[in-house]
Parts: sequence; C-alpha cells; structure tokens
Amino acid sequence: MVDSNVVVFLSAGALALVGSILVFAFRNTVYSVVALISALLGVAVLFFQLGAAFIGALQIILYAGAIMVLFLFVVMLLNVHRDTMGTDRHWIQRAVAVLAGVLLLGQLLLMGRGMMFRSETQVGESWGSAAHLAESFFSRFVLAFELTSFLLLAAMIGAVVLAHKPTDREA
Amino acid sequence: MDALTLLIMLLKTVMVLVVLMTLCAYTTLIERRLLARFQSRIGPNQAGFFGILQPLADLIKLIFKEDLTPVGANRVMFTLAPAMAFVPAFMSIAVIPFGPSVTVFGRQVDMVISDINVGILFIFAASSLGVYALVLAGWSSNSKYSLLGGLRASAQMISYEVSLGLSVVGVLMLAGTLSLTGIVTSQATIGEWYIWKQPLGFLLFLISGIAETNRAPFDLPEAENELVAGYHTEYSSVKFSMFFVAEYANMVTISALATILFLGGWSGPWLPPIVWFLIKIAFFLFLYIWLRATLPRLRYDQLMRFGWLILLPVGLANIILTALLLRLGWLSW
Repeated sequence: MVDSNVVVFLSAGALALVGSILVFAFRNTVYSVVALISALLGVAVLFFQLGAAFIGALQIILYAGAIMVLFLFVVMLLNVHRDTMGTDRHWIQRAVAVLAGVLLLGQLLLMGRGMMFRSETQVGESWGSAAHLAESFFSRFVLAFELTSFLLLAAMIGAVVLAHKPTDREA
Repeated sequence: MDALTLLIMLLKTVMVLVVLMTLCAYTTLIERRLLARFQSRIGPNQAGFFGILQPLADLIKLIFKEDLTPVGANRVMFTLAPAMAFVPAFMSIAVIPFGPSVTVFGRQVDMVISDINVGILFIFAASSLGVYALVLAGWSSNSKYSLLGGLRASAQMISYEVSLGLSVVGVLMLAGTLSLTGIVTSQATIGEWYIWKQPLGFLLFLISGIAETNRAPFDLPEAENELVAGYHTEYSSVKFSMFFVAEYANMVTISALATILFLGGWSGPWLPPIVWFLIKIAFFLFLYIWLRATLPRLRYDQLMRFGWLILLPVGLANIILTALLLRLGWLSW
C-alpha cells in the first residue's frame, strides 16, 4: 500500500508546479489569477504536511485569500488581456531572465544532491507552531520584525498619498 | 493508518456531511415557516406533516429546472464558481468539534473529523477562499447585476473578515490556544463561558458573522430591489442550489463557531453533549431568521462606514482592553 503522505506530497507538489506554469501559460488573465491561487494552495498543503499548520493557515488567509482577491479585482476591473499588452521586451530583460533561470536550476540540482543547505538539525515538537513563531519574532528576530512593519507602514502611506485626490477645498 | 482507523474516519466524515446537509435543508424550511409567522402568513405546510417534505420537494424542483448559461458568459468560470462556493463552505466543518472524545470498542474516537491545533485559523482560511466564488460568478455571468453583486459581496466580505478576526482575538487570549477543542474544554461550566468575559467580542462576532455570510440586514450582494439576485442572478438548477446550500452551510459554521467560542460548545447538564451543541447552534440559526424578519437592509455606504469606522475600532479597543485586564489579573476568577 502506498504511503498516504507520499500521495498528498505528490499531488500538492503537482498542484503547486502545474499552477505556477499555468500562471504564464494562460492567455486569459483571470485564468492566470485562478492558477496562481491554486499554486499557493498547493504550497499551503505542503506547509500543513511539514507540521507547520500555523504557517499553512496563514499562507491561505494572507496570500491565497487576501492578496489574490486584490489581484483578481484589478484584473477584472481593468479588463486586461494579454493580447493588448506590449510584447516588445528589452534584450537585457531576456538575458537576466535566462541567467537567473540557470542559477536557480544549478542551485536546485546542488540541493537535490545534498551539497547545499543540507541541514540535519532535528526540529522540536513545537516547530512552526504559533507560540514558536511568536517567540522568535519577539526575541531573536525582533529588529527584522519591527523593520518589516515599518516598511509596510511606509508602503501603505505611500499608497494612500498616491491614490488621494485633493478635495475641492484643498485644491 | 490501519483499516479500522480509516473506516472510523470515513464514517465520521459521511455522518457529519449528512447532518450538515440535513441541517441546511431544514433551516430553509424553518426559515420559510418562521418568516411566514413573523409576517402573519402560514408558509409552506402542504408537503407532508407540517411541510416536513418541503425541502425534498424544493430539491427535486431545482434539479429538474433547465440549466441555463447566459450568452457571452465565460463557460469555464461560470461552471467552476458554484463548486468554489460549495467546497470551502463544507471544508470548514471538518475542524468543528461537536463533542468530547468517546471510547468505542476500546478505541478513543474524537468527535471531530480533524483536530488540528489551529482550527480557528483553518475556518478563516476556508471562508476567505469562499470570496472567489462570488467574484468569479459575478464576473463570468456577463450580466451587470451579477457583476455588481459579486463586487459588493467581495468588498463586504473582505471588510467584515477583518472585524470577524479581531472579535475572536479576545477569546483566544483568554483560552491561550488556537485549537477549537482546547477552547471548549477551557469553559466547562456555564460560569466559565467566554460570553461573560467577552460581551463586546461576542456582539462584534455576531454582527460581523452575519455580514460575512451576506445575510439580512447585510444582504446587499443580493438586494433584490436593486440587483435582482446579485451574483447568482444568471444561475439556475443545480448550480444555483450549490450557491444556496453553501450560504446555509456558512450560516451553520458561523453558528457553530459562536457556540464554541462564546457559549461553551457542547458543555451543558443532563443532556448528551451533542444535543447541547445542536441546541446552541439552533439558537443562533433562529437569531439569523429573527433578524432577517425584523431589520431593514442597510444602504451600501452605511454598511462600509459601519464596518470600517465602528466595528474595526471597537474590535481593536476590545483587544487592548482584554490585554490590560488580563495583565491586571481581573479576568481570571
């Protein structure tokens, strides 16, 4: 009998991979958004399988839920079609894309053969739990955590400023 | 995983699904009967004793209706959208615990399909996926009423999701866990129910829960005098019934969640735990219907203003207040 873990891993992995490929394979942008949502869901299942249920749930709520709804809104309301978008791209763009692709492929191969990022550390029972995450956020990574929140705040204020139309009184 | 564990798992899943479907079906009947009472009418009482066969008759009628797809509709998304509403709605029930563990034939059986330690987040995750069904249904129908209804529904759900999330934080702080089973076991007697320590949180949860399920008085996505039927205007037959069942399943989930978070879940004297759980759920479902019969619908700008300018600040204040009281030790008696 096949191990159920393997079945779940393979199907979730396939969902993530095929979803990611379909994101740029579809000509209809709404389809692309739906493909991206399913790819994110596949990744969330992988998180669940690793025992990091908290991160998996956040992955769905934040990425697959909140952020992608905004994507869908923009795509739907602007009614963008791939045919109407420009196809001329600069050669530098292509060169960088190829280079990045080769580098990523090399890294994946090295990882697959266990020559990079190989870690044998045994993680504790609480790994990936809400308590574990909160603890590392507020002790070891407190500076990075606070800086990120600062960055997000700046981005939010920037968006408000850009979107704000002066009222009659201000103008 | 041996065969017996698998069998128990399957049995539990089938049982929960059957109970949920039946609950959805009979909520529609009770809703129609009660609404009729509220409006001095009689309501459907012809099919069977007290109209008890009415949901079955409705189902048969719906199945035999012609399945229409509007001209110019995006067929793929139009077909996919009802499924995208149906699946998340039924997914959340998997983590709802409906009783304490029992021992059957020397094996411990949990009265929940999957007792994950972040149960409450799982439910929020499922409900945040339900938004796509409404948006895509509205977009793919190629109809302006559907599109407007879909946009309204999603804007409303995104707005009220925030206050729904904030309203439960107080309870989570008191319980110190994200597990739904853990939350229930931490309020064993009526004096320990979180409704007493979190009255504001309870009220916020109720209001945003009703808005989240798009029910009256927040049923703007399907305001029939403006939008015909909102995002499912163009749907008929089985596809329509999938949206319909999903809405009622979401109502049941919110009611179950309110029971678990604020009313002690299955705890109660004399009667078996599952009966208590169903009684409390029935109370919230009745509340839904009662509100629908009593309150007029909000205007759209009122709805948005209410969500962002009243519910959200009150929700945040409730969290700060709870944290303060917890620190001072006033909430642990």
